[in-house]
Amino acid sequence: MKLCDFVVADAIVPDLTAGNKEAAIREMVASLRQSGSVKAEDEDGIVAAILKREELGSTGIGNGVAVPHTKHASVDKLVATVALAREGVDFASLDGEPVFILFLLVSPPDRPGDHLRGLENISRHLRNQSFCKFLRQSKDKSAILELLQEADNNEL
Amino acid sequence: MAETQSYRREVTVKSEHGLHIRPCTVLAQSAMKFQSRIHLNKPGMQVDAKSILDLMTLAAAPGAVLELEVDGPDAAEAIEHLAALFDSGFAPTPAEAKPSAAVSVG
Repeated sequence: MKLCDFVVADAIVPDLTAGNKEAAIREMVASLRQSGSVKAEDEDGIVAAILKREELGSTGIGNGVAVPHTKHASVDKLVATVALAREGVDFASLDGEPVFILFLLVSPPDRPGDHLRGLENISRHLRNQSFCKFLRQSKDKSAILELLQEADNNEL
Repeated sequence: MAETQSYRREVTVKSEHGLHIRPCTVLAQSAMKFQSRIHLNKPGMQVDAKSILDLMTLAAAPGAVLELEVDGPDAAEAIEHLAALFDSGFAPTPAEAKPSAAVSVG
């Protein structure tokens, strides 16, 4: 599995305007809806499910990264988007630091393996300091997409 | 000074959905409470159990068998504690269900 297999190019948010956690999640799910990856009627349900998951413990896992996610029956394959928060968003992260890089995943409930492989893929790249640095320096959607492709091809 | 001890033990992933983010978070936060170096091994791969990102790269599915490897002054206590977490399927305790409360902020 590669990043570009499940990160929806049209849904990438290069400059998140949201100032808090809930708004950031809403903005990212709205972007997935605008790209046609989730249906308008499912948008609120997906946001609610992601927020509910955050109550179990923040997915702000430290180092400026958050991976909000949920399973939802409305998708038939793993879909994800990536967003950059230039000013940082308070995500109640484990290390107490603001979040600058967000990967949001929605996966079908009957395919938990896809969710695990998606996480494996994202975490493998996020461990790479160059990937995080170049991602935060990416100015727009096409630059981010190009970086994801380079990461997929192990060119970083 | 305490002597360095080394322990290895096989553990099985019992959590319903494998080592997804929440179990990785619980495991890393628990591992960080110990001074010992703590690794989780699977064939051909070794990761730092104190790093959530490292643990997520294992993509360990339910039923996967991994090896805990602990070296350090509190290794005996650490391996018991962490093996018990695997056995419990990473059921969240009240403290660990609210990581923001479990982590001391200043």
